Amino acid sequence: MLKDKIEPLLLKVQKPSRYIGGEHGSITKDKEKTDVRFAFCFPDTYDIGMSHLGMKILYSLINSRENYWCERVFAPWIDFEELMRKNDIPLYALESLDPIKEFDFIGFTMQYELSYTNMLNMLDLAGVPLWAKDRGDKISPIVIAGGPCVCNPEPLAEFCDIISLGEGEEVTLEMLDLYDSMKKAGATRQEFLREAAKIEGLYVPSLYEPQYNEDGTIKCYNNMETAPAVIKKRIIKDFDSVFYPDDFVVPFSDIVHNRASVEVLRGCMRGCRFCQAGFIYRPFREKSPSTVSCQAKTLCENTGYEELSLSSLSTSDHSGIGDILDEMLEYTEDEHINMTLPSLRVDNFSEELLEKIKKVRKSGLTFAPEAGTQRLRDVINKNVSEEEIMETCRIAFEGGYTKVKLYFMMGLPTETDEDIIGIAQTAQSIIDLFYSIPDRPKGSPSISISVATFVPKPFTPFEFEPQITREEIERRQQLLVDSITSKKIKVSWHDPDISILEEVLAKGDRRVAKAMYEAWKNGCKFDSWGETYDFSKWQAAFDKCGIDIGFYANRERSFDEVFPWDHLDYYVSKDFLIRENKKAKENLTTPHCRLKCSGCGVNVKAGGECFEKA
Amino acid sequence: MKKLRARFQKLDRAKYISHLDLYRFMQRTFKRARISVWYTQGFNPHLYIMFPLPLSLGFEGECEIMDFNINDDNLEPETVMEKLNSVLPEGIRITEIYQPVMKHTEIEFSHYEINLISGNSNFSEENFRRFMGQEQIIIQKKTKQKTMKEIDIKPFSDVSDVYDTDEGVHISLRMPSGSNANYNPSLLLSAFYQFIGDEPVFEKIKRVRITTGQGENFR
Repeated sequence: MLKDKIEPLLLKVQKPSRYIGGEHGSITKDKEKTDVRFAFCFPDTYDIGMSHLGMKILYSLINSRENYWCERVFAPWIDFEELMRKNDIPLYALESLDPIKEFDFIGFTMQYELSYTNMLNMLDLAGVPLWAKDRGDKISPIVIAGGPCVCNPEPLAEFCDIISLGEGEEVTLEMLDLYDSMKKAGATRQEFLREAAKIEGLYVPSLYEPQYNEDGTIKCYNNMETAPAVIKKRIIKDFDSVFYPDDFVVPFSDIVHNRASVEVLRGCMRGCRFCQAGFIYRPFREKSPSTVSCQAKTLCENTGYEELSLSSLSTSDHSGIGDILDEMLEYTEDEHINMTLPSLRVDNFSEELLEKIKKVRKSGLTFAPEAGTQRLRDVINKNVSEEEIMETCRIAFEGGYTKVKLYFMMGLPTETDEDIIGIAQTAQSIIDLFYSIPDRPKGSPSISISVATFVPKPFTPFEFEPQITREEIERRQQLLVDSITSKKIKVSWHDPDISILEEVLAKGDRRVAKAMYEAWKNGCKFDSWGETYDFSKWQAAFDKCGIDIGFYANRERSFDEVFPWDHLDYYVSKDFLIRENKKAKENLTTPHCRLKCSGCGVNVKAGGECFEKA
Repeated sequence: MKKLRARFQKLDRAKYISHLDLYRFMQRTFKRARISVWYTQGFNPHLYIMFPLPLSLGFEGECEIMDFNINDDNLEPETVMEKLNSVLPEGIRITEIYQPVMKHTEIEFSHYEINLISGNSNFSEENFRRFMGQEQIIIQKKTKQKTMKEIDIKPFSDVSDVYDTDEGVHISLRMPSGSNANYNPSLLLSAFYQFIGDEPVFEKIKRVRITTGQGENFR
């Protein structure tokens, strides 16, 4: 038994409870009585992965079928990985403590590009061949990946047997059912994959072959055998009645988001042009207030959590948010539960809403103006005005808040020095505003500005845009620092090298896979962690494989270029993205979907209008 | 409001729950069990739960103590126990709930059953008896002022039994615990490892009793 090998090592590592399972809500089954075993892998530490909602949903969904067993797997932190390798402990699942190599499926959720090397490292720790072509004829284990990053899966494609596009609630069980029957019939891996390719939403990379032009761009993708030319993502039509867990696994140790969480809506109606999530999760769908409150109460009762989050890309856009809050606040106050609302928007943050939130918790407020001037906010379609930012801050200050955190981006298309200086000016105006309020709270205000380097992503109107170069990132960062004159304003940003890597992986094609493999061999893992990230190892890998970073990151693409993700259909049409790109360059905004349909194409394909009278 | 004391086991996988995490864990357990427990009054109310004697991370416990208050005076302790046990995960089990008899300050000793597991013969009854036979066993102990102090731990270490096992050695040990004096068995074990110049592959330590100065079980 692996447990006997694991236990003596646990007290030698940080936070041992994350490697041994046994939490409330974790599901154990008799493996002799299960037909399909699924290892759900999150390619980062337990603390991060256990905070992720999508994993909780699919975990409960698969386990709702008696004869299927889904277990959780996380990347061991470097201290424990070292001991695992030294003591020949293969990567195991937390429920059974069985090696995942024996499982039928090894599924990864890809939430950010910088976790790609962790996926490779986990496959290696599991003892599974990294390249899909080396996995032989035996049907198991099937390596599958999903999540937002796989809207351009090409850098990962050759490591995966299947890529799952879009929402997993329906397609996962369809795939497992197919596998179950084919495995019992003695099918080979290739036979199963050929059948799986016929299921809408499943992309089998080995059945597609990219052709390249002389300039290195994509010419076309050749689909083979049963594979459709274009693979459509899956969406849930009836979001109100979609499967939702009635219990969560409750960790023993404290993790990033340790709370009950209900997804109140999916998709986003805003159309901010830089935001990939805003396009790939379309259409906008809401749960009814009664469903939300029913699911929230069930979860709180079953988990015992003292914190509840109403999650989505933009919770205050829910048409019934007032009703939801009224009902939930009454419940949470009685039960000593804190309620949190992530992703509030500046423009509909009313005094009334603040009043409701204030009852529960008082901490800092976070806003994302994203750009420093109105012109640039119009370019990116972040439809928030200077007055709205100031009005929200005024409400917040009058409500007793003194700390404001602001998120901005740098390197947005058409950005000039004036826009960078505008970031500093916005922060300064908020400080001035604070002192102009007669009934301001005691103490002095503190503004922290977090500046991320813009990473143009697939399936956004800016997918054609180049990322600014490292030199330019550094110049603009310096300009921002020089523009700030108050000690009450603190600035922080990401390492530019991290954003550059993110861009290469986000827009990469299959040729990038080789470099990723080399980088992993050079020791790259946990690339999103400051203490482990080492760009020089990546640079060496790119150099060895002849990959030009500039080709992927800093090249402007023409509207007629074929992209590595063009054979995937995320329902948003390329014509719409081109139209939005052109409007951006003319500083023209597009109203949100509830006001007016922008014709992105999703409603046509998903069948029906997103909003009445829009 | 009724004051209650629970005695519980913390075994197997549950031994990796740290003392800090145990508070939150129990808070959620009460919520799941739908038992109305007393919150401190004031600006920032929080659930009142008290563990008089923390257990080190990685130790098992047969008789851990937790004090709390319930709001419903008519609720029987047995009912509370049943409700809690129905929602507790494997490894944590409540064995008794009662109204407190003694004060925390009456706790004087913890009794441990220790299994040192190793692949070699260094971990033997003979070696441990030789180690305990020394005139003094000097160790470094942290004082309350966070400085290190040399002390002789031998007078505080009451070994009632030692015997060889298939995989190493078993030791029954009593050491002072509680608010007056607190000695962790790891202090003695580390000194033993130094003495023989070897470390075990795995140490299994279980607290089996908590007693008063008169040798009664703490209640």
